[in-house]
Order: sequence, then structure tokens, then C-alpha cells
Amino acid sequence: MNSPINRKAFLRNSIILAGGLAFLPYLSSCSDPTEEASAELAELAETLIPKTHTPGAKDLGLQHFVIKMVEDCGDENQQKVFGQGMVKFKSTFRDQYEVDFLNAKATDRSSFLKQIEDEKFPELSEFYSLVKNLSIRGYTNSKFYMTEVVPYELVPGRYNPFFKIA
Amino acid sequence: MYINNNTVQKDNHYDAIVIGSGISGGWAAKELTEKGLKTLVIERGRNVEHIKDYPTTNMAPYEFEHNLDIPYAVRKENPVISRCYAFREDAMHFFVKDKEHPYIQEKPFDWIRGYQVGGKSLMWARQTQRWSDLDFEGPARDGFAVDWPIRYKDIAPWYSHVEKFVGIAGNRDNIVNLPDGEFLPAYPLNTVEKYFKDQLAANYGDRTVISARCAHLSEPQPIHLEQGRGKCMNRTICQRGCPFGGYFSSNSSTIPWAAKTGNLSMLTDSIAESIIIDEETGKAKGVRVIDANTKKTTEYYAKVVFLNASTINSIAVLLNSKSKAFENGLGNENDLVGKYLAFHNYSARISAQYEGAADFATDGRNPAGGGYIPRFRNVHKQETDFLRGYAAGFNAGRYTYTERNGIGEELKESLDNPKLGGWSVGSHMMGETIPKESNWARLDQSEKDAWGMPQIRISVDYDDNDAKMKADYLDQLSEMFEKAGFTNIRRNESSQAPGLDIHEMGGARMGKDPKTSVLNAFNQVHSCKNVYVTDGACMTSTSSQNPSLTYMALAARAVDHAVNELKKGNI
Repeated sequence: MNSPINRKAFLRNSIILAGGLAFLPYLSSCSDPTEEASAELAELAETLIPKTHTPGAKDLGLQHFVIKMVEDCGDENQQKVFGQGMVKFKSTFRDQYEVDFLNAKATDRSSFLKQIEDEKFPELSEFYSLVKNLSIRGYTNSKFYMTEVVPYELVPGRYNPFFKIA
Repeated sequence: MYINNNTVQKDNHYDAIVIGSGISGGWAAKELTEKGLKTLVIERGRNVEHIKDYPTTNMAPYEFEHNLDIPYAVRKENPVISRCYAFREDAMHFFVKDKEHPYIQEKPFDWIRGYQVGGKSLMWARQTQRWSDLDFEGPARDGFAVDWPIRYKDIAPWYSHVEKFVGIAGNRDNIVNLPDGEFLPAYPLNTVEKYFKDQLAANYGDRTVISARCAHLSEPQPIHLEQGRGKCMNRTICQRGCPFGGYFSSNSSTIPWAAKTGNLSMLTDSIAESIIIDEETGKAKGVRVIDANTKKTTEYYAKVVFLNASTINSIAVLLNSKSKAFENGLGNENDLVGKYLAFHNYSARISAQYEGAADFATDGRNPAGGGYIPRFRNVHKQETDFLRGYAAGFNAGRYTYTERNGIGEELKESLDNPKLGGWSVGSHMMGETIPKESNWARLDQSEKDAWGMPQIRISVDYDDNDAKMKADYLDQLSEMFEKAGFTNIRRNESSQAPGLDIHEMGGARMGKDPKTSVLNAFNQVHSCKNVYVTDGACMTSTSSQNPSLTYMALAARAVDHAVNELKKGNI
């Protein structure tokens, strides 16, 4: 269930189920649509949460978290939204910029996501919210974030009911 | 599987057998073994050894495969257990999956179960409030069920006995319907919880919020250290099992304590099929057990049997214990076993915001969960158009949140700098329900489980009294919140089925008259005196307090009685 092979099978199935054969013609260099989709998701997450002086989405492998959560915990509807969204996201981007999201400039990727945020592509908003929310969840629940940004306390050992804010 | 092999008795003969190792069975085992009885505890589930078998206890959120969510396939296959608040990735291994242990819902009933050593004491919410005579006298005063055969004075010393060993954090609040006990220091109310308490005092004479009394070692005493338990470290991930033994469970406390006496044998993965009756004397002589793995049946014998299988499973064991003397099931001559099954009404919540106290927050975590509002309806006399009343949880907290607008560096900057929100307040109702003959659990005539045991058919529903009480809770709490200046008050009426409160009670109720009750004042089956039922099945009424403390006190009291009766040769 957790092997990369099965992860790939999941992604392929959700794309094909979503009518994703249309995905195939867009694939240029990469012969495996699932790898391409995973890479695309990684770039999408990276556009949301980029590497700065601290790790970004790709460093943290957030695409794996997003896929894992949809694959294992999402219901049928969420999986459909995800699968169809992957296809639609790719084709809509290509229509706009005449290049694959994967090969596009970072500024074009950002401008596309901003347009989705501004509801220019309502058909992508559900998919986009799903991926954005899971990317944020993955980021704020990553080991990096929970040890270096906002440390998680496993053993507080205290309760101060009247904590005065400085 | 035998644990403590060195204490196994020859020819399967023991002094006492306890069926079930949960919160009440653990207490029966502790008391019996301390009093020198060679005791066999029969547990249907696997062994869970304190600390060693808490696989998730020290895991950070990011170490869980699904960040604490339950996979969809599991939820889809197990809708009942998936509705339980504590059934999450960190504790899912302690809950029974619907699929593995089917039962029949005549009406929707979410039966939440934990089949392992320690039972649900591992994952319980640890709230421990005493009952008062206003509870024990309730049925007689208000004309429902039957009169309890005991009063507060009968159980008070046993509450003390149990509380000292368990360790209860609480204040002496001097509230008539919530007697004070043997307390460790309470977890104090926070700024806004205290503010609400003051507002209630100003606006109402008879309503208050106290620190919820809970089974946590806020300041361990020698008796707790002797159990190998330490101070609660405020982790509030108790449902995983606590490596400090900071909260009470059979696993951290009573079971290892009983084992230390050298008098405990434990049989795990062993299902109590029935209590065996000696046809000549009409007394119980032992328990017939099915090995959960091999399905082989074995008989174990004892002078006295304690039935602590959990409310509905204890009903099932009684009903399945058919003999010449008890053709209709043990103690079921009057067709009462399984009936008058009741629960707590948890089907309403309310939430709001508070704009004040902006200079204060909390630091660390409160294992008590916050405050407790004792029942204030119909306490001394009937005042409303519904019987009895409700207690309520109340808590306030300030939580951090992150802005999620935008993308890229702007978004990351927001995520990296969480903001402190305002105060949120919330409450949930805990309503007393009226035991009724029409609410029952019984054995199905044809459906069997994987071990050949009849499946249990459950028919329990809310009634008009529950609906009125729920409406009153929402109205009263809204008013109390408004008067305190809380804003954005939201009523939440859930449609949750009975059972999800995990406070099912009754089915073998205590009473004075053998014609109208199953158990007597000492939890003995009226017609079979060497069988004691001291779990939730014994409850004549439900009160609005959390029941586990009362089960423990009744179990300890019943063991004391049983040992004296054995000495006198009466059983």
C-alpha cells in the first residue's frame, strides 16, 4: 500500500479514471505519465511554498504527502476532484502559456496560480484548494516545521492557566 | 494465552474469576488478589502491557503515515467506530473495528468497544465526578426505573478508597450534588473559564463551573509512586497510553498491582462464553471460555465470579448462561436482563467567542480538559417539563492560526509566523436519560459471530424527555453565554446515535426487589449470589456524571462483600 509502485498505480488510475488519456499527448520527454504528474505536483507545491533561506515544498517532498493523503484518506469525490484536476490543470496551463507547467518559468507558474486564486478558472478552484490545503498541512506538519519553525512539544510538563502575554 | 504462568492453578480451579480487565474488572482483580484470593482474569482481547505495548506513545505528528487521519477504506468499512472522537491514527489499534465484531442495530446505536487488556480504560476521557444522593434518590423521587438499593453513605467510603489509589485531581468545591472526594491538586480554570464562573455567580445563584475532576496525577503520592506511576506531564495524548502512568488505567495501575500479589492469573484472547451453573446448588461454579484463536472451549472453576465484560457484553454473558436452573439466562427469571438500557445524551454542543482577556492565554496543556458545569436543573425538586437534567463540559482556549492567503514567499512567511487568535469557548451537554423497558440489548436468535456466539441485537433510542432536555441545554447555555458577553454563539445539534457517548448503562440493574431488578445492593445476582456484576450493566439510573468512578467504587465494595460472604460460608 505504501510502496512507490503502488503510489504510481494510484496516480495512474486516478488520472486514467478522470479521462486522463488526454494527458498522454502532452507528455514530451517523459514516458511515464505518473512520474510526470508527480513532478508537476511537486512544482505546483513548490510554487506555493518555495525554497527560500529555508526548505521549500520539493525539499520536503510535499507532493508525496499530498498524493498519500488523497490516495489513502480521500473519499471517492476527493479522488475524482484530484484526478480530473491534475488533467485539467495541465491542459489549462498549456492553453494559457503554450508550454507545460513542468517546463514553464517560475513567474508564469506563479501568475497562473494567482489567476486561479482570483477565480479566473473556476473549474480548477476545487482541485487547487485541495492541493493548496494539503500542501500547507504537509508543510506545517513536516518534521522541519515542527522542529525548527514552530517546535512541537511532545512533553510540555506544565499548564499555566494564566499566561500573561508580554 | 496465559500471562503469569507461575500462578496458574491446577485443574483450572481458582478462588475467583473476573470476566473482563477494563476499568471495573481491573478493580475487582486488584481487590480480590490483595485479599489473598487466587484470581483468574479472563480477557477476550490481546494483552496490552503498560508502556511496552503503547507503540505510538512517543510519536510526533509527522511520524504518522497519515498525519493522524484514518484511511478512507478503514472509515468506509467501519462507520461506527469512525464516528468516535478518539478513533484516530494514534490510537486506532485500541478500538474494535465494526467489521470484526458485528452486532445488529435494531435502531442506530454506536457501540464503541476496546477489546484488550485494560479495555477502554486505556482511551477513556478520565472524568471522575462522584454521585450524590440526589442521583441515587432520583428514580424514587421522580418515579422512574426502580429505587436504587444503595445511598451515598453506602458508597462514599469506597469512592474514597478508589480515589486515593487512582489519583484524582480536583478541588473541594462544596457542591451538594457533586460531593467532594480525596483530591490531588486540581488543574485550575484558565482566565476565561474563571471569568465565566464569576459571571455565572453574578447572574445565577445556582450555576457554576468547577475544574473538571479527572484521574490524573497532578501531584503523585507514595501510593502512586509505588504503582510505578509518575506525575502527569500534560501531554494530552492519553489515548495512546501514557509512559508516565500519568492517568489511571487498568494497565498502568490495577493489573500490575494485582500481578504483584502473586495471586493473579490472566487469560487473554479468551472469550467468556457463559457462566457455568452447578445444577445441584444453583450456584455458579465457573466460566466456559472460548479460545479466540483456536476456538477451543475450556472450563475454569471458582467459588465466585465477577462479571465485568462491559455493559452490553455483560448482558450477553448473562443471557447466554442458560442452564436447567436458569433456562432464560442467568438472573433472567423475570425477563429483565438487557432491558432498561440507558446512556448519556451528548447530542448538543455550543461554541462562541470572547473578545476580552486579550492579555492572557494559556501555556502548556490541561489534561482535565477545562471546566465542568454541575447539573443545575431539577436538582432539589421538579422545575421543568422534562425529568432530571444535564451536566456540561465547559472550556476556553486561545489557539494559533496561520493566514493562508496568497502563494509563494508571502504564503510561506504567513505559515512560518502563526498568529494568536482570540478566545474560543465551548460546551457539550451530558444529559441523564431515563431507563426504559423499550431500550434493550438481547441475543439474536440466528446470527452468530466468528466464535459461534449469538450476535447482540440492540434497540435504544432517544425519547421526548431527551429532546426537551436538549432544547433546554441549548437555550440555557446560550443565555449563560450571552450574559457573559460571549459573541458569535453557535448551537450545534448533532444527530449522533445513542452509544457514541460511550456511557451505556443498565441491563442488569440493581434494586431491592428480585422481581423488578437483577442485582441486589451488593451487585450480587439476586438468584445466584456468587455472581457479582460490577460494571455499567448494574446501573439503575444514569445520573449526569461520568460513570466510571462509580463502577470502580461499586466493584471494590462488592469484592469486600464477596470475601466476607465467602468467609462466612454464605456463597
